[in-house]
Amino acid sequence: MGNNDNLLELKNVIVHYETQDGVVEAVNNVSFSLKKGESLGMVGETGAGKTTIALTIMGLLPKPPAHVIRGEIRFKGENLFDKSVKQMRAIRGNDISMIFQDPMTALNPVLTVGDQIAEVVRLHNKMTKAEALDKAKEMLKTVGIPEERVSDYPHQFSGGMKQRVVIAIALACNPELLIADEPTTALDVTIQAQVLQSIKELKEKMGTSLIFITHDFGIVANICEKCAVIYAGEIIEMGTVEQVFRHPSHPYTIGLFESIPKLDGDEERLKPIPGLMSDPMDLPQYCSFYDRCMRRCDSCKNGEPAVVDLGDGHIVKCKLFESNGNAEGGQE
Amino acid sequence: MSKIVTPAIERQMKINKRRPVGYIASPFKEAWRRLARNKTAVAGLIVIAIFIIVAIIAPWITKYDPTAQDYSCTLQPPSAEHIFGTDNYGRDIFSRIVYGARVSLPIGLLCAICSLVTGGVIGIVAAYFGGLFEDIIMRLCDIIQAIPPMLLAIAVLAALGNGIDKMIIANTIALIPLYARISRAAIYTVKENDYIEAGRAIGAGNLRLMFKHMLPNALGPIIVTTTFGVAGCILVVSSLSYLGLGITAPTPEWGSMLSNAREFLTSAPYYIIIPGVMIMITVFAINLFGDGLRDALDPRLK
Repeated sequence: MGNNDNLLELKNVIVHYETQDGVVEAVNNVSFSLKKGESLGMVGETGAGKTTIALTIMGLLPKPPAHVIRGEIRFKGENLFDKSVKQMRAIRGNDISMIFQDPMTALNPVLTVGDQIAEVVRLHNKMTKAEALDKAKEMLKTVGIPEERVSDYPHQFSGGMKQRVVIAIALACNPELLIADEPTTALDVTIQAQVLQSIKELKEKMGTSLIFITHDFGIVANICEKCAVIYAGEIIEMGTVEQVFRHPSHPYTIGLFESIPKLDGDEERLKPIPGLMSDPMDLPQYCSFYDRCMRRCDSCKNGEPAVVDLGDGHIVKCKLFESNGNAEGGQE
Repeated sequence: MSKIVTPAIERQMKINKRRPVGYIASPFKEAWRRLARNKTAVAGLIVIAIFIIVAIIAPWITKYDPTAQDYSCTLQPPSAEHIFGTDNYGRDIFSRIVYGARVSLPIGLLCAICSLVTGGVIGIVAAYFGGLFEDIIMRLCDIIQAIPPMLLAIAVLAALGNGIDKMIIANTIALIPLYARISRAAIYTVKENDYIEAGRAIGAGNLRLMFKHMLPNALGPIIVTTTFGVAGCILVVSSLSYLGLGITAPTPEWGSMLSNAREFLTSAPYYIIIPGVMIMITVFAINLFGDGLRDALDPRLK
């Protein structure tokens, strides 16, 4: 499926953390692709491997303990794993940039915000300091911060404004891909809405592709076109937001939707998914969701479930669908 | 509703009037303000400043040449003519003290700066890259630190010969491990911060991450150690001169003056007291300043 209008394509990526206590299987056989201007929401609980996927794309995995075991990441047709350190440095911040989770710690406290925006501009473009500072002012205005504040220090900004500064840094070089790693988790709800609105608007204005990592389905519905549900380092369901939200198919996805409070339902209690995520150091040979699954059957223990296409690219990885869908050959 | 104005608000209004609109204090200006409020630190700073000024204007405030001998008035106690008295060669002790400041202060400062720069760079690079490289560097530091600094300095001086430059080299070598250790520890505290990761995410290289993103955040403890280092160096230089190493005879130096005065402890006590007190005051003032600096740079006390 060599699709050439894919901006980013992950193929069977496997990442392990090799620690003293054992091998953590953080990312298992993750494949997905992203077209230009498209946005993908990655949903999953804490420790599911969402951030590891993001860091793998950025080439920022802490090595050791992290090891890329297999797979390739094609960005504009070129495999990022083949790039040299220097080439990756030129890509980071310029072609791919990242928004970090906590704006309180993502800005350097001893540099003014203007310096920090100008820095990324100057790293990737030949510009004088004054030109870069002008660009910084422009970026601040774009994210809705008065340009006079260009010489302020991070501690003089509120949390929401800091996150906008982080967004300004990430977008300063017009990247083609923006990875947002839970950018609103550390903010309160009203500020969340503002920051999300900025991300959405800027993304549309600049035509940037977006990978949005979160554990909030509401946000995904709001700003993404595609949605991937991650469990224990695997994509267990992926499709357009429409497909996944209208017809959640994997028992885990269904469970996630049932644990969200609804306004129109008359249920008194939420239905949490029982149990905990399997230990990523000791994943079973069969479906990793088996122990918590409400619809498990005996055949679930017979090897890993295959990836099944339910039609129009709505894929799900579960034994229940293996018979009625057209299975894609399962585990390669 | 009328606004309540307390003395604190009045003070702040006065300050605000003096500042241009949109005034922003950088973290270092902020630290300077905190330092200025610390009375003992300011006292230390003033004493240091006086000593530096005296050292600079030495020729204009002394009546006698510090090396001129006058056998008609040896070992005179303090008088109007010689306010600190004279030594056994009839040299004016006040002149020698004043000119001595020209030797002791710059040597202390130079030693501290040389060892700070070399040790600092070693420590930062070691902490940044880690692994085997760090282990080797830090074990080398352990080896050097296992030798008492004084002994190491004596050994280096014995190998290189006497002289001010050799004295600085000896002291620097003895102090490098200390600075390497301090800067390594300081870098470790900021290394894992998100903004370093963020710096990497915008494509910053190793040197930029080390010296633009990490170092300024780790500067506090390094600066403080440097001030204490200056005081320590002055003491070591004086001690070495006292032992007859490093700075040679006619050059006025506080430590060697102490050493000369030893024989006249009973007959001319002022001769040994004055340089001793000078060393003590200098080291004390620098330490006071360093203490204040540490408090001012500690973000937890904001």
